[in-house]
Amino acid sequence: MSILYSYHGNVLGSLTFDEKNYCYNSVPEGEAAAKQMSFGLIPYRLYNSQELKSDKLFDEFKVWLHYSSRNDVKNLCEINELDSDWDKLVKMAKHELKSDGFSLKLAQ
Amino acid sequence: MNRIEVCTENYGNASAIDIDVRGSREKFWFSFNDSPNQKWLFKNTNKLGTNKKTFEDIGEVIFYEICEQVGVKCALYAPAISVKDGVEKEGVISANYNPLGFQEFSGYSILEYYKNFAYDNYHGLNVDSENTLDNYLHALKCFAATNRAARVDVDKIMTEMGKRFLLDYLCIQSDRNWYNVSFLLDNSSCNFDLSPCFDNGNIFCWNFKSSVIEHLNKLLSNKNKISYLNEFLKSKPIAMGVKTCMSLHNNETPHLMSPLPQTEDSITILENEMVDMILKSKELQDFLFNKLGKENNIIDKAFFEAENKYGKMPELLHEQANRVFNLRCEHLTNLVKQAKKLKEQEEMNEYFV
Repeated sequence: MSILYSYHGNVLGSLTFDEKNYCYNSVPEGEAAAKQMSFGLIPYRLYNSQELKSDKLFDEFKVWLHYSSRNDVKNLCEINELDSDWDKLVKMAKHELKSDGFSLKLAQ
Repeated sequence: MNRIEVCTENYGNASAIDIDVRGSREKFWFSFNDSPNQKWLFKNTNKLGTNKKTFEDIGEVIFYEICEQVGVKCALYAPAISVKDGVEKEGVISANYNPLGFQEFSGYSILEYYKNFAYDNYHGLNVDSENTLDNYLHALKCFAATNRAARVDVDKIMTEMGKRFLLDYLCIQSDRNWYNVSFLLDNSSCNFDLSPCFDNGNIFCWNFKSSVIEHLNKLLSNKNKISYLNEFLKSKPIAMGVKTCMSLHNNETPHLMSPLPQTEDSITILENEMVDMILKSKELQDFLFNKLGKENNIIDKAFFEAENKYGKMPELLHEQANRVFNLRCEHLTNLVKQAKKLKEQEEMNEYFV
């Protein structure tokens, strides 16, 4: 299962998790379009990532975990206390949540 | 006080559009059924995670009325009650201040741009990118210099930010973190400018319980001195500084800021830096002396306008806000006048030496 991370309709990349590591793969065309339209202002540092792995969640996604602590977001996405960080992101992506032009969506 | 009802049930007067995940308060976008093209945002202003009321809703409304008087751009706020799934919640509604859907960038984004540019282009140079007016100035200059196609009037933006900073100081705004500052980019004209100010409800300690507000009001009614106000405010930190940082963030969690406790020193530093900033700007001097002074009755007029629209508001808030606003305004005005006099004297001395 992978989560697509987009900015104003431009897919920046995809995030996966294999129980140990997060892995991010860029979509160069989407990144270039987003960078151009925003004059490089978007808070995004994962440009040109190929199989970028980390046991910690990338900074770009941490703020979404903060959003998931709100009661209305929890209720909408059916997030509970036992959910892992990855579970929470997947649930928010299922509902295609948006914030400041960014969005999460499950890949088809 | 009369609240505008927002009922998104089947029989209701409004239709829910989308949840807005930003910030710690529950909020959602909706439109009224009789004007479906106008988007509004409902925000629950109860104490976080509880049903306990705060006066932040009144804070949003009053700050809007203050801004209207003094010519500062502010999102329109009105007190409201949401009826959703059979549950009523008090809060505010605000008109969408970005109806054309421009790209919006938080203060955090522009400060990060500046920090990353310095790091990437100057051999790992670490610059201060904390939430201060000075850093916004550096960041805007950096952005404008590296994006010639963008139209950025840095002076105009900084003057507007200066005015908002003065208002925040006079109203004891405690939540001007870098997510409560934003910029709009018009992609067709490439114009880059401040958005109207928003999330202004945490003024005059109205985000605290009544007893805190009552205590401050009583303190100032007995001893109307800036020293007592500053002593009271030591535990009520502010989020933005002029040059010196007033709140820190953890790189791991930028959305969480830790305001530094206000000491007597930090308030003195802040006020000295504000005086410096005001002395360098004729527009800010004019704003302070001619628009904000006691004779303008800013708070009385704000409550008058708000009560005309929405009915009677708690007299305690009116009284307390007047005391705080006028005390701070008088104090700041005196500091600026003293500094101006000193500067003129120094210039005279230099001339004759």
